[in-house]
Amino acid sequence: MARIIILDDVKDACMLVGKILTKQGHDTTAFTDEEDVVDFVKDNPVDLAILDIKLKKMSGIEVLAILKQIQPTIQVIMLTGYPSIETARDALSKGASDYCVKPIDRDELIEKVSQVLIKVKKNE
Amino acid sequence: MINKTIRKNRKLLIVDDERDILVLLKKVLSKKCVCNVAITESIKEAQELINTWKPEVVLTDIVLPESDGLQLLDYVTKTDPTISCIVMTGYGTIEMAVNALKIGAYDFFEKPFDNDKISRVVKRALERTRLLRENHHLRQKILTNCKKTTFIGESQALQQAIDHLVRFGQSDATVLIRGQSGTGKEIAAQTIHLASKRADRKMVTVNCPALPEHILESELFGYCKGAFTGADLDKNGLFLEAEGSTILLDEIGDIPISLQTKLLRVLQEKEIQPLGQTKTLKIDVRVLASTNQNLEEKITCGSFREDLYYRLNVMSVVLPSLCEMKEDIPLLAYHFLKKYEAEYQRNNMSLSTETINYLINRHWPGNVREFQNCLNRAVLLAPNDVLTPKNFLEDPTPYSTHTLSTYNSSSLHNLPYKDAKLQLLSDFTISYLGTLLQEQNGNVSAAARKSGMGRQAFQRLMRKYYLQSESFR
Repeated sequence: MARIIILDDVKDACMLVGKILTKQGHDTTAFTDEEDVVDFVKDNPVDLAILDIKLKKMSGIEVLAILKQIQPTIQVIMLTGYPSIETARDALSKGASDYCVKPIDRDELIEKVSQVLIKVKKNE
Repeated sequence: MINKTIRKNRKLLIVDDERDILVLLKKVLSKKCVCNVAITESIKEAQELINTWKPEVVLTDIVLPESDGLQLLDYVTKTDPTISCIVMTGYGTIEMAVNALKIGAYDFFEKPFDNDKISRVVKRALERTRLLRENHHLRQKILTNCKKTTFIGESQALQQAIDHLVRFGQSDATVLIRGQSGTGKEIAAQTIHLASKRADRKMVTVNCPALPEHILESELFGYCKGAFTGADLDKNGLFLEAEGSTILLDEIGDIPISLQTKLLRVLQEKEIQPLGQTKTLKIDVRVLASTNQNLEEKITCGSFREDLYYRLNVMSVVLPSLCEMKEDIPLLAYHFLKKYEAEYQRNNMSLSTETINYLINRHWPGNVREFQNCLNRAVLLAPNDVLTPKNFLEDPTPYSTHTLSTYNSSSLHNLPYKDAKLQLLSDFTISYLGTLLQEQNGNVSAAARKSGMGRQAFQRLMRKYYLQSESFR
C-alpha cells in the first residue's frame, strides 16, 4: 500500500483517479488546490503524486518542482489533457517519472502507478 | 572561455536515413557549433563510430532503415553514458518523446525544426558531455590520490613499515619518521594522516630548513598586526592552518635551538602564542616530524634539545632504504616506466632482464628518489623502446657519493662469492676513482698521478665504470 496524492482542478477527475487507486488498496488523498497539496506534503510523507498540468494558479510542472524540493524522494506522474512535447520534456527533466495523456484507460493508470511504485520499493 | 581549438576538437555524429537532411545538418551544425561532424545512414556504422571515434553528441532520427533510433539511443546510454543523445523525428508523438526522454535522450525534436534552436541544443549537449567527462576524469584522479598509501612495494621491510604507519594513524600521538634521504618520509606522513580520523582535512607540511629562523617562527605560530615592522595584518600561523588536521615538520633536525623551545611548548601544552600576542591559543593539531639525521648525535653535541627529542619520539618508524628492499626494484622500475611512458607519450617501452639485474645490483645512495629520477631520464632520452643498462649509465649521477662506509655488507653476504667480490670491487673502484677525481676537480692527469697509476690505465678504469671527468668539475 502506498500513500498517493492527486491534484486536478476538476474535482470529478480527482475523485475518479482516487477511486481507482483506493480500490487497489492505496491510501489516496485528492486536492483541487495547489497550495493545499504543498502544505500537505510539508507535513506528510508521500510516495507518489499524480499531477494535472493545467491548474488554477500554477502549472503542474511548477508544483512538481516544489514537491521535489520538499521531498526529493517523491515520485510524480504527470496527467494532462493538453499534452505537448515541450511540457513532456520539461516535466521529465524536472524529475517526473512518467507523463500520461487524458483520457487514461483504467488498466493503463494502474500499470503506470505500479511501475513507479516498484521504483520506490527498489530505492528503499 | 573555452579555447577555440578545444571546441574544434569536439565531435558530433548525425544519424538519419535522408541524405539531404544529413548534408544540411552537417553544414549548419559544423559552422554554428564549431565542431567536427560525422554523418551516417546506417546504425551499424553509427555504433562503430561511437566506439572508435567517440563523439560527444549523437543526433539521431527515430525512423531508420535497419532498426529504430531508440535502439541506438539505448546502445549509447549503455556504452558511454556521458554521450548526450538528441532524438529527432518527423512523426513525433507524445508517447514517443516521453519514451525517448525516459530511456535517456538529452532532448527530443520534431521535424521540421528551427536551425537556431537545434544548434543551441547541440551546443548545450556538447558542453554537458565535456563537463561530465571532465568530472569523471577528476573523480578518477581523486580516487587514485585517495588510496591509503602511495608506497609501491611488497618487500617485508616496506610492508612492515606501512603496517606501522597505518596503525600509528589510529592514535593521536606524535610520530618521528626517520629514514635516509629519498625513502619517502613525506609519503609516510601522508599515509599516517590518511589512516587517521583527520584524513578529510588537508595535511600541512613545513619544510623547516627552507625558511630562515625568524620567518619560520612567524610562519609556524602566526603574528598579530604590529608585531614587527611590516606586520600590517594579523596572520594565522601554519599550526592554526592545520587545526583539526595534521602538521608535518619536515627535516626537524635542522630547526634552530630557540625555536625548539617554542615547539616544545606546543607539544606539551597543545597551545601556541602568535608573535606580538600575550594570549595563548589552544590548538588541536597532530604533529608528525621527519628527519634523515642522527638526532642522538645532535643531542650529544648540543644542537638538539633532549626534551624535544623525547616529545617527538613518542612513536617512531624507520623507513627502509632501497638496498633493504631490493626485491621491490623490478616493481618500482615498471611502475616508474609506465608513469613516465604516459608522461612523455611513449608506447610499448620495456626493460631487458639485463637492465633489471643492473638496477637491482646498482648502488642507490639517493634511494627511491634517485631511482625515480634515473628512470625518468632514461625513459625521456632512450632512443629505443627497450631500456638497456647503457641508458642508465649515461646518467651523470656523481659517483663520488659512493663511499666505502655506505657499502652494505649484509646485502653482499646474500650473493655468491664471485658476484659479491665483483660488486665490492666495482663499488670500491668507483668510490676510489671518484674521490680522487673530486679532489682534483675532475683533472684526470692529476688524479692518476695521485693514485700512482698511469694516465691511460686510470682512463681505462674510468671507461669501464662509466665515470666522466666532467661530472667532477
